[in-house]
Amino acid sequence: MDEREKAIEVLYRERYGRFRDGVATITGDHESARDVVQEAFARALRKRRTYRGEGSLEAWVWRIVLRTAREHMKRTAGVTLNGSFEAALIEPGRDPVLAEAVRALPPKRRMIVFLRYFADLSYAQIGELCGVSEGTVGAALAQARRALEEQLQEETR
Amino acid sequence: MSLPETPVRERFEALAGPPDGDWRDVTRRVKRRTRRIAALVAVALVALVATGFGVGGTVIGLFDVHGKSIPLRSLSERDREMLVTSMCPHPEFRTAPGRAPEPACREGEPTIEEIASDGSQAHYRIRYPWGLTCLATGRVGGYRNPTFGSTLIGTMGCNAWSHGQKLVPTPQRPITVDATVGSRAGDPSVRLLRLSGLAGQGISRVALAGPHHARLSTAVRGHAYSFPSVPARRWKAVVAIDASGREVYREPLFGYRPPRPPLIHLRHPPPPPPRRPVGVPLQTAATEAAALVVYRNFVVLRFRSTTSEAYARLARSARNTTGHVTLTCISVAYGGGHWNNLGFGVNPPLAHVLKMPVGGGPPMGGIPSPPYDLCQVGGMYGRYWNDEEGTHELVEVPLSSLGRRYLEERGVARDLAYFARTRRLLAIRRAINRGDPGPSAAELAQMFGERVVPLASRNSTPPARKVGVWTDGKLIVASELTPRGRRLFVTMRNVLIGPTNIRGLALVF
Repeated sequence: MDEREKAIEVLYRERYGRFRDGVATITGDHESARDVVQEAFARALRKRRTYRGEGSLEAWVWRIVLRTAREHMKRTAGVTLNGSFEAALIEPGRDPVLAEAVRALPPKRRMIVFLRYFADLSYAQIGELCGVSEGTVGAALAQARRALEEQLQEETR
Repeated sequence: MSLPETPVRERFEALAGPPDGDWRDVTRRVKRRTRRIAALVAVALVALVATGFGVGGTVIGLFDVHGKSIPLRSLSERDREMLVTSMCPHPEFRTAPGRAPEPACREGEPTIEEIASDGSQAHYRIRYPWGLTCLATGRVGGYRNPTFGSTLIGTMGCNAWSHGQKLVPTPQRPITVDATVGSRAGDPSVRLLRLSGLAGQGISRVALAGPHHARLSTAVRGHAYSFPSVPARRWKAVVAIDASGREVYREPLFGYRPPRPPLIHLRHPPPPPPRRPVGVPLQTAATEAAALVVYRNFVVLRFRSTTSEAYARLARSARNTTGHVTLTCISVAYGGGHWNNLGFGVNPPLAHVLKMPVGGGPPMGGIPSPPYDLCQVGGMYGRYWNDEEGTHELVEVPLSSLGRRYLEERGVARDLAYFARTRRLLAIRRAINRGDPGPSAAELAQMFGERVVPLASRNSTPPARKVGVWTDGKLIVASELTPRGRRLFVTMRNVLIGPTNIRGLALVF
């Protein structure tokens, strides 16, 4: 087993749940998200020699995961015309207020929220994935969080 | 200032899925790369196309079913709103003395038939007087939701503006196919999970065809068929079989893409939204914050000043969110102690002048026509009980005396609804639901401070500007007086909402 393969396996074992929960917001259910993550990690293993260590391994794998999810959604007609995702909270019945609050966010900000709270990525990793600066991620996340928390407080106070 | 992210994070973490990771499966996938079959997950294919089949003598596949008529009156309020109001070109209210107002449609009501049911899934056809036809399906017995009301309808599709498009079986395609595929825990392979649909005349069985002549069939019952649980095989096609056992139609299951229905042949294309006001103003009104003009096809709201407190608060809200605010116009009706409302709105960027086109655009309907009873502008902020934001929108412009009264009562109703939704009261309601004894009215009032007072009986009237509470330890009744002295109340039966007269004014759950 080479070093990169080992690193990918460690990443999988430590972070599988985060990947699966993040992807589920795109595919709509845990079962298909699991399939996407399994397939994406298999691709990452095959392509591991192309990882040049220019960014974090996790962000590199996330790019593969998102590409796999996009292909999956293309097959199931879940991608918009410009190729972007319409991510949403799965099983909205488990937390309808949160689902509604998330749904009210613009799609890009929603994706950043999911990458932060489901995938647990750092600002830098989200910025790398979304092609924006860390500051932009921080600002978008702060705005999204304010909007979310306002709506959630409406429910809880 | 943004709050700490911990509560939001905890909320998301509570939704985590099962721990079903399997590294060995990943390595197996690496090895069997070339054999990997493209995965299709959760695809629902609904019949919309024709491919061509006729069988000598008998026309197979005709779906000339009149079905069982379902009176609109027998449907829940939620279903009536979805099937009538939300689809209607000109929704309005039907009122009768002493009765709660009901939304109705100027163009008339649809007819609803149950056209098929195999005992588990029911299929409905909804025909509208203006030519639209929709097909809806749902679980037999419907779905119950204590907050939003029960409904029969799970999914619905319509043939809006598509000339000749068939939603039911035809001689060319004698069955419709609604397939759900996916994978199950412990089995990563993607496979067919469930299959159901309608079956036309002469189709007595529907079968799944697999490799090596494997076949799984089910009888058509009540013009419908279903495979609620499909065994794991590489099923390739769904097959319609006539009474003699002959295969009369075959449709591949995976990779099948129905040709695009002829949606471009629009008989009555929707008009584009208006760009500017036409004609003379129908309604005008002004408040301290803004002046409003309602035209037949347009609503224009002009802020009196961009330095007013209302504008500044809207700007603050807009900065914190998307830069947009909500402009809404509403028609209201009152009767039998209950309100109802029909409204629509837009989310324009905050500006000195806000405009809203009326009509055109939306394909289905559900937009009330002017004159309206009120218009309002609100921000994108949350609200909670007894907070500094209050229970009114930042700009409220009544356009009729009924609209003015509605706004007064809505403010009080929101106070009650927010009270019922407070974290503290929700915790008490959940505890009662678990079987714990609830607090007394006095204890309850003490928890919430001086704005809440205990009441001696469930029908007692609270003092003005106070929320009165009564409870027997299981049932909690909160009530409050409107400025004109009407008593609004909410009954909370543990986590559920019981009798109340604030529906139509505020969302309570």
